[in-house]
Amino acid sequence: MIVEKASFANFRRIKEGNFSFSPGFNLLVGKNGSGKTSILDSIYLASTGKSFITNHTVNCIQFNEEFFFVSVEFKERDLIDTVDYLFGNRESGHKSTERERGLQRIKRVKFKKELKLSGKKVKGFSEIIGKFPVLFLNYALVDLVTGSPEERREFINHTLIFLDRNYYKELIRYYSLLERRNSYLKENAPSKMLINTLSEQMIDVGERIIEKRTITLEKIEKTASEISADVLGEKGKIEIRYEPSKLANLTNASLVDEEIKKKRTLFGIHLDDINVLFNGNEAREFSSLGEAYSIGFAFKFAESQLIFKETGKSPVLLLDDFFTDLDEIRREKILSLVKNEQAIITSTSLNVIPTNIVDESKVIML
Amino acid sequence: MEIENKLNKLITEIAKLPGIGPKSAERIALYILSVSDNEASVLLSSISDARSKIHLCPVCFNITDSKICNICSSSNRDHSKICVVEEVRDLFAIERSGEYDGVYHVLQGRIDPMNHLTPENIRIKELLERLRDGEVKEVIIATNPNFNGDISAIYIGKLLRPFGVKITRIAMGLPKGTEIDFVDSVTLSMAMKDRKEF
Repeated sequence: MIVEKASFANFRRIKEGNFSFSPGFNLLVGKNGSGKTSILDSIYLASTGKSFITNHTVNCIQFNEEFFFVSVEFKERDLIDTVDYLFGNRESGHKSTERERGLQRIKRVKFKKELKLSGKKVKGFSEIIGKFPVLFLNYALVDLVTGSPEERREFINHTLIFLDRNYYKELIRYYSLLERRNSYLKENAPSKMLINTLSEQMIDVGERIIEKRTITLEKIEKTASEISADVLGEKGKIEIRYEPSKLANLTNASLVDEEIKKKRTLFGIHLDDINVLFNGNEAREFSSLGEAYSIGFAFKFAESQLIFKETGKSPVLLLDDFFTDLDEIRREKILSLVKNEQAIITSTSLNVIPTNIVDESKVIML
Repeated sequence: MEIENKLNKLITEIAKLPGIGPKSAERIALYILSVSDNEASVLLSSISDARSKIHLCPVCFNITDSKICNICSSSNRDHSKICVVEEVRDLFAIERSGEYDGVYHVLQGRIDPMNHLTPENIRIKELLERLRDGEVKEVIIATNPNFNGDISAIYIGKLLRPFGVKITRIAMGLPKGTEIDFVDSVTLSMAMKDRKEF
């Protein structure tokens, strides 16, 4: 799959923009703050409904503006699909202050959203997520290895929404149940029967999620190990140790008492532990920055290969500030790994990019 | 100015009614001003009458102006079947269908912890009380087929099990008069799962 076109208005750094991309390498070159990352973010947003920079989509609106609009064309073989996304403050024509925006976030007021898939209105990103695989890679990749388990849960979720049609729905159901269970635990003297009802539903859907995570993490481990050894030349063994949080504890009477005391849910797939071992040691604690980087890349490329193998769609790779962060040898090895139909790479200057890459790339100067 | 302010107040109050926007509110307000004194006072008195005389039926929590609502007091209804609904308007909808001859129980809400609606805040205890004398043979759970409605249904189902009554959930599937390719996939998969002998 490739991104043919991306256009937007009032999106992050960019007032207005219209870019077309080619298959193969695309280089976005521009100074810091010129909006390179904004372009990548708009593509990521069209694929997943989330920005990779901020958790609050409202913050993607350009400063002092009321809305943003993003339109991205994805092309798979000869089929073109467009995602159009308009996101604005509810009251148009009214300039909202920073304080009002903050208030809206707190009150969870819904913003005005309009989302179209190939010209047809759709209710939400649940109808788009999983259709257009896009992977984003930047310096934060290190966190995938050295950060908290949450980073790796997000990684496995991102992988599975493309591999499994039902996974996203199951995840949403699980988190809706969790949200309710948590707010009910905050009530005075909650009834255990209702907690148990919610728990049983969570166990039911949670077990399916755990099974899918287990199978997919095994595949990732296998492919990532091969990539790390053969291509990146890391002489170490990568293992993924997946320890699902015990779902059965959700209905254990004495543990529920504990949860009532602490007023939140203490078990479940939202707390699953996923740890990476490098040569038998926890990578979180023992790996060097360079090693963590390589392992992170190996994971992402394993994800990419897995998606291609199981869905037949080659994910679009977004590489942010790729040429400043890595030593040359690793860079070349990583670029040789890119067999995807399309990669979009940002850089502050053309000089740091090997000429053979520049020659075969479409270059977009900002 | 004084007059205009009073009109504005009327419009604002009418606009608070469900389903009425500012334009309709203005039309209604001007209409109320244009009718004869007699007509206006009939409207006023019927509002205040309804407010003071209509109350909840102590048995099923339907609204009524007599001591017990006419469904609960009717001898033509089958009192061994109770249909559990969230709101009075759900009861009205089922009554319009004319299909159901049992009695009701209006929960006056649903379990919705996010909005502080817990089992204690809705009429679940009262439902259990009604089952104690053993006259009821079947409870039909007709809460809405959405997230909170489903959770409420599962919870009530669990509570009722010890009573040994037949517990059923209202069927979910295709709306009448539709075409299959227009139906969303969740509904369609429910309809497929719940298909029955024909």
